[in-house]
Amino acid sequence: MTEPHRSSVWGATWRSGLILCVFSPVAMAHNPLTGSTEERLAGLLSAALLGGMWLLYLRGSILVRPSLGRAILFHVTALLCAVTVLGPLDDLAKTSTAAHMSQHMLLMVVIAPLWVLSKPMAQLRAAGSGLAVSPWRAMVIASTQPMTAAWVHAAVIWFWHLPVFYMLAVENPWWHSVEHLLFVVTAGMFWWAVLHSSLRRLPLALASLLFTLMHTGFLGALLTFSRTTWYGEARSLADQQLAGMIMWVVAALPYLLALVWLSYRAYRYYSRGRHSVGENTTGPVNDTD
Amino acid sequence: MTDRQAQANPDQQGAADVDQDQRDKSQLHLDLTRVWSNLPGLGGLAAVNHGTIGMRFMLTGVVFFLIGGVLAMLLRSQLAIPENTLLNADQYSQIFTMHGTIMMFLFAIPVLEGLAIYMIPKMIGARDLLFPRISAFGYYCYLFGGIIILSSLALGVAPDAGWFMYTPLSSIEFSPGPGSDFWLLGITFVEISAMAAGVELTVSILRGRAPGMTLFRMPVFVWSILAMALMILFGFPPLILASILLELERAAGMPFFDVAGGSDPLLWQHLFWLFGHPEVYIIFLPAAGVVSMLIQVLARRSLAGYHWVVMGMMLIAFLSFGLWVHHMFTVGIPKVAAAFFSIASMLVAIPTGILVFAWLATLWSGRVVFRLPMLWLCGFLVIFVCGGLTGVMLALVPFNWQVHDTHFVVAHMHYVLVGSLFFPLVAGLYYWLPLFSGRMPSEVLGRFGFWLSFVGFNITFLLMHLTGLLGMPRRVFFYESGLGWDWLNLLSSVGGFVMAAGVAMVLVDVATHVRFGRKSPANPWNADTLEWALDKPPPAYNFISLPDVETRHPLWLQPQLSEHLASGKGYLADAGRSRRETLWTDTLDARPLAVAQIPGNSWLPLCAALAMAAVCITLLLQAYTWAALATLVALGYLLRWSWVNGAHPAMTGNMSAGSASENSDELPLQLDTRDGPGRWGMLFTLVADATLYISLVFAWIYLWAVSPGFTASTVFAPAASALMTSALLVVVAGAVYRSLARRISHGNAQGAVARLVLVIIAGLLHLGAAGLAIYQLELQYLQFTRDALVLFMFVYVMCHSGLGIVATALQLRRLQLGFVGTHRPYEFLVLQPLWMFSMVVFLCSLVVFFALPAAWGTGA
Repeated sequence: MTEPHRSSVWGATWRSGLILCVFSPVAMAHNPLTGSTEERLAGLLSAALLGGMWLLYLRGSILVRPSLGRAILFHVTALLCAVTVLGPLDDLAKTSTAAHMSQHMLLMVVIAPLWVLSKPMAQLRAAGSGLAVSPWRAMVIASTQPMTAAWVHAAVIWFWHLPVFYMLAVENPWWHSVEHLLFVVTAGMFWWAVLHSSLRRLPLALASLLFTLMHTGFLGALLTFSRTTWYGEARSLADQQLAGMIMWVVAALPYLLALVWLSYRAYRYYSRGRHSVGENTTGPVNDTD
Repeated sequence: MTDRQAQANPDQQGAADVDQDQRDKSQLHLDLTRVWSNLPGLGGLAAVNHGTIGMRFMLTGVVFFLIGGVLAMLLRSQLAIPENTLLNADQYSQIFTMHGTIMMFLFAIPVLEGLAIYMIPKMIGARDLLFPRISAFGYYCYLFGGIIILSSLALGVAPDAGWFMYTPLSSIEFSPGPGSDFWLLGITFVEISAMAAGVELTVSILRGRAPGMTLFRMPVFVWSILAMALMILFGFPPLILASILLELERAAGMPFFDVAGGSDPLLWQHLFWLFGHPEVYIIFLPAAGVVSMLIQVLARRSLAGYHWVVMGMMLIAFLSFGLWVHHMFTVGIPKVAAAFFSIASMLVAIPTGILVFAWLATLWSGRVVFRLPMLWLCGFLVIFVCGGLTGVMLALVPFNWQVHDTHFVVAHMHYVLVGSLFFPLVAGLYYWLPLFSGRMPSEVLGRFGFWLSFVGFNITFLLMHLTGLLGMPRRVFFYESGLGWDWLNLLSSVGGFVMAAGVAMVLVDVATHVRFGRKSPANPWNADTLEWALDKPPPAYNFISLPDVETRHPLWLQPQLSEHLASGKGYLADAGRSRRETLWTDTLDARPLAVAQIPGNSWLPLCAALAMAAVCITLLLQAYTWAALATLVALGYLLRWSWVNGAHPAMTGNMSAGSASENSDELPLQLDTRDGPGRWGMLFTLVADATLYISLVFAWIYLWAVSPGFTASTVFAPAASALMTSALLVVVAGAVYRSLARRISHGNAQGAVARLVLVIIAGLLHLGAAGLAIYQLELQYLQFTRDALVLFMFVYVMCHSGLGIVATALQLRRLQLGFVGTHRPYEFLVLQPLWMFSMVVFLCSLVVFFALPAAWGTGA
């Protein structure tokens, strides 16, 4: 019993090492090695966090094997996350509001929901049972309450768009990492609460999606219509307008998709085993035409 | 007849059974009629029955339509020849403003509400809507509001700033007369009816359907009305807020849209189109529902792609809230925004395309009966598709700039609105006419009516596209000859009168059919939906007993249903408790959960609406003392209404508390459960209320971001402690109320009175602290937009907590009287969301209006 187990641990380590090797050029090409010392350190921290989670997942997938589709989804998303956080967008974000916005939106409406859909909790929990501390538990509880998660997520989004804190994150790589972490974690909680909501909570899940769609659209609209640049003179107004539109319109699509998907799921559930006569009749006289 | 004789003659036995059935039925009919009928004579004004109210809505709407039509004829007469002097500039402005206003606010929406109020209970197999008094109240608000608006026309002081009332043209400086006040107050008054219909239709559709009618067995019309009602809840509040703000600016001088105070006139346009764009679909969706239902009946097959159509409708409803900017391409929005919204506008073509193709597929694969309604549907398809195509053209920014404010836009708008509303509505009218009156319309007159309308419409508006492309601007009363517009305008005017003749023909047909039409068969179109199981014209109680629905097409696939229901074999075939009842069912699969007792004839809606009309009129006369008095009277009636509600003995009929087990089908009385219409009504009302609040926050942040003269940060340091205290107290009130509601619903009434008193005291102190904060802030609300908005915010939140306090005091009294308590905790649960709302809104306001600007730092 122990032998295969050990060998699979070995396999996992080997595999993860391989993946890190494959991946490291991407990471190294950018932040961790090219910027200032601080930037490098902060970049390394992000990479380490991501890598740690990745390793945890890999170890967990030996203990609790995920389905192939979910595993692929997780790994692809992790790769996407690495590219988003450490890739070219990060450099562009220093001078362009639109690039920064794209980075954030990738984290919040693409990476977070995809990770949530890959359902990595079983693996993470199995591998990191020692890490189950109380703040973690509070987050798990919040992740069952769509409205609470949406409020927390909203607070985080608006907080980091206040010029003071926005500039803080742009200028200080450490704070930038914290910003990203908060975005991903609260977005993860939000998407978890929404996408994995029980049917009883479906109306709440729909309402929190609507709420999030509305307030992010709101913020996007303000960025678009503003006549002054919010984040320093160096950035052009057109750049900020583009950022606003990305948040307002482009980032709305995942929320819309989620709304449709949730409704469809509920419909599927309720129409199952309820196939009564004549939902698709050809008319008052039953001739097929 | 003795038993022996009966045995000897089985035929007679059968006849006797039928006799007995007939007697039972007529006895039941008499009982139900006694409970459900309106009061005789003038007492009809106290009617709350959905059939009566829906019919009144529709008839009033038709009257307004005719008035709007006459105005249109005046406009076309003026434009028929160049340099015409029939109307002067002033009259022309008043008339085009009133034509738009009447058609949009007094005809299109109310008529659809009326149709929905009339039809929905019949289609979902219910006895009535769940808030009948709200229907009546909505109707009177609409009627009085409409009369007030029209009176301005009679007095020659009608609004003349266009139906969208753009600031600053509508501001006091450029429209000094009372015209704009008539519009703002009157329309806000009329909107009450839309909000009322929005709430009651949503709740009734979600919770009042007949057993077995799952969401996906609902007729498409019901889906479309659900979408419409939800859109009303989200779409109208921005306009209501904008109207209140503009009226406050005009009457009290608070500079909400005035650049001098730091505002931006475009704020009005944003708020208006936040309403105005969804409005187009609020009108279109019910019409699309009518079309879907008629097409499947007249093509004699079920609608192709039912789920796709439903999904398309919901998608349209949703998308429409993100498109308002495309009405503002020329006001100087960022080019990147124009580009995005141009693309987003094209997106609407996808769900509308789904709808159109589903209809075409149904027609294609069905065996179409070309009777009158079908003719109008064909007209609809042609006109609507044309309107949609010019819509795609207008969504292209360069083209939009080119034809902006020309008659091309007028033509497009009429193709969309007349195509998507008028034609389906007439089709629906002809389709349901036998149901309304029991008689069939004349095919000949109807056909003449159609061809005149269709040809007349196309002559008028097809040519108008060209007039617009040749550069003729909108809203001009006068043009010189020789600009190439002469013959086009003349033909447009001729077409207009041809269409008017067509409308007149339809009216004559409808008017004469009541007397001369031949009797309608039971199901003249061989339709599938429940409303055709009713007697014609339908009795006040609708169904003798409520159906058990097994399919999406009950009358096609449950052939015995009508007889089954009429013989009293369905639900609630009993009027013994002398009160109006309908079923309260589950949202998704419509399991019957409880019997909902609903109110009967009442004078309260009329009195409350009259008092509110008095408020409206005194405000117009600027008699503010009287306005305050009238407001108090209105409040008094509304509170009285809330008193005679829920567990009040007048509502529960002759049933004492606790004997609910006598109910038919052993369902509990809804009052004895924890869930009911009141709670759902409260939730959806708060949804609309929250939208209004969010619009206010939008105004605040928008001005902050956009207006150079606006500084958001207020010096709130002197009021900091008062604000914190107030916040703390409202949290205390809310939390105590919540725990109280929980305890009572768990059967623990200990300390309930003390807790209620504590809630009231905390609430009053909260109000006091908020008042103190206003005083300490020293707001210069007549000078600065910022201060005016802060003051408005305070009034808004204080109204809510004030209402919470009054309602809590009433609950305390009801608890002492024994109406409510551990045996009936329901009312406490109804009120709870209001306190939660007050709490959240107050805290949000502190963050948005004070903390956020302070945290923003420089430049705020």
